[in-house]
Amino acid sequence: MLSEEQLESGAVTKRGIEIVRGDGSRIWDSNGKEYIDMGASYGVCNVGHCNPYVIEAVQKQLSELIYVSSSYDNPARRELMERLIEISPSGMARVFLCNSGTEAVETALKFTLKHTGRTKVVAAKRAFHGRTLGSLSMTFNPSHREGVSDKLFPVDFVTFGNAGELNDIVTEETAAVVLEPIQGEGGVHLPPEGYFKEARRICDEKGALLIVDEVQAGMCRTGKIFAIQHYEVTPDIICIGKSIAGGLPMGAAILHDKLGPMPKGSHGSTFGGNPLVCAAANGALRYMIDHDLSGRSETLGKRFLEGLRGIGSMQVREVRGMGLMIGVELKTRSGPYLSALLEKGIAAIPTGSTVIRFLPPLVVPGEEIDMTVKTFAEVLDG
Amino acid sequence: MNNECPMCGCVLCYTNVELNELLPCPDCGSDLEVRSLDPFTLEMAPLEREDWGE
Repeated sequence: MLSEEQLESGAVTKRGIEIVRGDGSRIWDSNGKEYIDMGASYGVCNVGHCNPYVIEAVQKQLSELIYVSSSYDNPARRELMERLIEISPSGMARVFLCNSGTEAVETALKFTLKHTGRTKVVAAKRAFHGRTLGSLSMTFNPSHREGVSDKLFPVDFVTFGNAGELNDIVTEETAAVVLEPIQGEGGVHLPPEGYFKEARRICDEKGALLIVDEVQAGMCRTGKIFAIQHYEVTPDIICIGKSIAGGLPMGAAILHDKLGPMPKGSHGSTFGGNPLVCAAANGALRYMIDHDLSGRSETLGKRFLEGLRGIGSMQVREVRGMGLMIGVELKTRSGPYLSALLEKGIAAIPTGSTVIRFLPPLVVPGEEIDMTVKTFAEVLDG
Repeated sequence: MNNECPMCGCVLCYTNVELNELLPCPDCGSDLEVRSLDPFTLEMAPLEREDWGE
């Protein structure tokens, strides 16, 4: 029998275990070994694996209507869009539903370039916005985009957090500034205080749109529903994905009222807004609010950060994060430590060569956070 | 002293580093390796496996 690695395209790095079951913050492999899912599969499972609200919503919807084009109205879709606008910063008014975070970013870019009539985009170094060509164009490291998407549209790159540089680079030719509220894939980097207020001011002054990529940091991950809310700034477009639908594929671009509607026929998505995934997303969002996952993330995040900083290992250069979006930067390659953690039943995830990312499901019990800290200390020692 | 990031040219100001230590460029995030302490030399850290982008 061929392995998944032999069958798969070859593009994906495999971890060497087969996961067959999940429940809350825990996952099990095909040998029955249990792991604490400290990565939530790259931040997808915020409401936990097999969340009961999501299951109930999906089961009900499965028996009613799985798919119909978004050219027909559907109550699950309408409910979701209403819910997303309700929880968004004041002024957000319309939603484009799609199937992933990178599609949400592509939607935002496409709309922005048409809406402003401008050609340039400003993005941050160390950012990650997705792997489709438009999103990829906003990745600084040329090795990721050379020969593939480096000629789509001009992108000026700035140092994340440097408002002076942003002010110098954004001009009347800039269509949009695209930023993550916290750089996740780049190593869990928080901006300095006031940066986003400055970004908003600069965009307003120059007529550029401010697009915020909340694909990883959004959906209660950092202690607020949207991470941008920490900075008291309202963007023009919010891009979300990953955890929005409890593990089912969904993305969305949420547009500010001042932008008006997208022109008819200017964009589309066959599966975007399909009733089944909308039902799942409604279940997930209801769970996030009913169980105050933002508050949970804030409280447990402080506990986690304190625990990790308290380890005091010489191997660790820095521990940083907000809520349950945490990165531990080592002075050496993280690979062996990630493998050791996995062996001990903790499934964390890498970022680059040196950062271990902890993005647990927001339903993770406090005891499992403590266990992770203890295990990590052992691994660093050993 | 070669303390510039080979990817973006940012000047790195880390102190008390060790040989073969991995340093992220604070500007572009590239992983750099300390290849020599005297003279201080940074090179791009070899990629052990592709694990970027999620």
